Amino acid sequence: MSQIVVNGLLTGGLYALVAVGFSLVWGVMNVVNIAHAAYIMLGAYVSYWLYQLYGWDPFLSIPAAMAVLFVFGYLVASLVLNRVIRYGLVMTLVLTFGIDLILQNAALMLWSADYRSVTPAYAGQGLALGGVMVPYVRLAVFVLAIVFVILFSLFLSRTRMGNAIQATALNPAAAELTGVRIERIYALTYAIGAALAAAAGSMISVVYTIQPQVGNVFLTRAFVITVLGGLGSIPGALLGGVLLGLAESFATVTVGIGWSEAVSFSLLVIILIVRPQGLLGRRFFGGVG
Amino acid sequence: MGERTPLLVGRGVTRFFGGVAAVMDVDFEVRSGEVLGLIGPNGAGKTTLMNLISGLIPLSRGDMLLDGRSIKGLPPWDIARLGIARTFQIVKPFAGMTLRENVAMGAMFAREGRGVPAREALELAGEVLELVGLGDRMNSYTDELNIALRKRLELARALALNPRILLLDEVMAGLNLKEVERLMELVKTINARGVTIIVIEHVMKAIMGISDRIIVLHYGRKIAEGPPQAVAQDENVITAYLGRRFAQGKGA
Amino acid sequence: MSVTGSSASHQRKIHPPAPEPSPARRAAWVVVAALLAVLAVLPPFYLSGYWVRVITGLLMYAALASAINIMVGFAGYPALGNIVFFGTGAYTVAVLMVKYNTGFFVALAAAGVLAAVYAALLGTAVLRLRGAYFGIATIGINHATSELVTNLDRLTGGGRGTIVPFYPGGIEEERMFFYYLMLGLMVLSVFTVWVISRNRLGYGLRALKADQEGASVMGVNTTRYKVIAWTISAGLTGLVGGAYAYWLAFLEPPYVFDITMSVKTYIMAILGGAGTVIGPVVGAFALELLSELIWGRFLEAHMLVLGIVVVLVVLFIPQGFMNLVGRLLGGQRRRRAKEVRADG
Repeated sequence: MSQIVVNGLLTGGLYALVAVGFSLVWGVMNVVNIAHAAYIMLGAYVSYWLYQLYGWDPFLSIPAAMAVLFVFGYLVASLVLNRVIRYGLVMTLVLTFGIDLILQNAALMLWSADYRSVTPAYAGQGLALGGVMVPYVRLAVFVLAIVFVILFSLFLSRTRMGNAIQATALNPAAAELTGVRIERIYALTYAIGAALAAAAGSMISVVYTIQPQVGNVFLTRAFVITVLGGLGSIPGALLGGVLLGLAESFATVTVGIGWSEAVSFSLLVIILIVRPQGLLGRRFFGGVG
Repeated sequence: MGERTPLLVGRGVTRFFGGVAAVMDVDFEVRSGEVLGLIGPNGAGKTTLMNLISGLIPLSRGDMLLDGRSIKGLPPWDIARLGIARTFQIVKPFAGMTLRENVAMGAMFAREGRGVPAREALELAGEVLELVGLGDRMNSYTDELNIALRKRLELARALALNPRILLLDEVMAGLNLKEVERLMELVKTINARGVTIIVIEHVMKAIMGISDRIIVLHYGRKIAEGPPQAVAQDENVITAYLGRRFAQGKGA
Repeated sequence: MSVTGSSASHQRKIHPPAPEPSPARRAAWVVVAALLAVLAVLPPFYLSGYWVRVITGLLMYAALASAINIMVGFAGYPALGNIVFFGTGAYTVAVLMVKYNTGFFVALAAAGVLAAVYAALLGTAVLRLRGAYFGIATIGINHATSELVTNLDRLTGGGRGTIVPFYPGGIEEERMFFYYLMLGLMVLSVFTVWVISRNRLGYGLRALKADQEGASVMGVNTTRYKVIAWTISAGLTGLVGGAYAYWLAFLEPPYVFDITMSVKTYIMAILGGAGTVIGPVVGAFALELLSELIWGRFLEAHMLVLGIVVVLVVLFIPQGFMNLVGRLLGGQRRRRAKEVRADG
């Protein structure tokens, strides 16, 4: 029982990190960023190759992965996404789906569909706490994920740039009047979202095996958590992540491992209909009519 | 024909949004063939009342009767088919459809209680467009119209239902004086043909000129009711809405 | 008591009814249609097996794009996960033929019906969602249904997949069968859309796409119309899925609940022109032929190509070909109408 809870919590922390960038982009830009899956995957591969080629510890390569994807995200947003954002959410969803296809296919051609994993010396070890097994790696990932989410939250509330992003989310027109350059804010927001995805990807490379489609399952989680927690809400993402982690952990034991997607998505559809503003609900963009 | 019998009756009509009452305990009667004006400051609940009548939002409390039968809880399309048509303050033309198609919608779906076949509806739409003075633009698209013409289109769309009751929500807002006068004439013509009209308007001259009776709403409650002249002299109304200058200008 | 046209007064026709095509124009259409029909019927007789197969695939996508167009183009609901009905139809055919030994056409009919019923049941709840939220919910439904099918492995073969009975007949015969089957389904889809576009359902859907409140006070039962539209769209998609199952002869959930395929049909509809009758067909042919002709050889990069096409379509022709053409033609027609009036 306590093992189930611990597993759920540990996974939930990572889920929160996976979701927070996705939620940010959705909440601020009104863009459902399908390419988030590809950014997670790319982050994972950056860590993998730095480990394979230069022996970098995967935890130390997180900043590198974030930097690479930040630049990439900034370019995608300013060169492509910003041009079509006015066509609305469906068009940008389709666009980011296209970007996702391109990146995943490119990864497949470059690195093949082989399953790979990053296995530093400490990979198999863990901590036994009264019958509950806590692997070091997963604990570290959990703590780091939470730290990232908190740092990101501080960035939004304490820095000028963060404030500008929040203002843009609440009212783009008004933000523009106060001198905020919307296009630049969008590019930055998107870049930050990609960087957060990369951080999550790096951590995923230590915990799970990776392949070009590794991001997809996490994207579905990000979806559910964002809807659960409310668009653009960081506490919502944390709460949603942990709740989903726990729910899946219990579902695995009770109904079997094959049902986790069905559980997640049934949850998603129901919440969308019943409580579209999410559990902690400030909602930036309307849903139900 | 039973002149001046109540056609539409509201009893204790109430609507809450969250904890706030947008419309509170409003009783009203609309007699067949009359023009009833609804006035009040912004946020007084006029449009909410209209939304309640047309079924776009449900009543929180109270009842609404058409011909003595309750229409409470009916969806907007059923209410339209019972012969209650409306315009919107912010006009809602169907983009991607021609004016003729826009106007035909009401006839196609609600005229005579269930709508008429598409061809007949398109034909009727032509006649209605002629009536409101848009006859020469039948095959234009709505994005080619200026605001005054859009208001006319909005009116035409409602008329195509061949309504018994027509709800007009600020059809004259944003129009110049000449256009207001023309539209007033049109409303009078429609009323003369037997259509009962409930009208929300901020253009005081217009609403005083066309209404047989006026109801004044303030913070969701009815504070006065009566013929235009009487309402214009009412102390409550003057302090709440009209202001001294208007009353003195109009006063004897 | 009537504002206009009491039943007596609208006998006199002041205005001509909605513009009807002139006889010459109608004759031209008949010729074009006849040519198309001949062109559509002939391929299995003179093309190689490879090309017949390619065109069968084109016809399938055209049918799917037409079906999704009912939701996307008419009702304005981005049913991104519409492929769920394709999978439902495919598995209906597989299960009925494998487990219950039914004939193909009985199973196919059941596939259409089951998919339609599924949409009707989901519709009342899910169609309360608007815009992208509806789209996302349909993606979720597709995933959940796919997993359901995987988990019902006694019935469906689960993740290992299931083999559907082969078409009983020679290779030539089989090729022709599936070609005409898909052609028939495409014609059915396009015909359905054409009928919708001309009757009250089409008007109601276009109105609610533009403005739901506005449509509802005009007497359009928006709830019912949306559900009907989705039911029809799902039924057609289910039929195509059922045919696909028999054609492919082997099913796995990821093949037939493939969101990539769904988005592809969506892009086809947009590319050709959402809300037009033949736009999605044009879009489907353009996109499939393009990828087949130019990049189809590089099988590995298929998705890469699709991704690039998706990005380019969104960037440069978000309105679609047919709407682009339609707007130009429409402009001309309106000018012509004005001239006619000036003459008279």
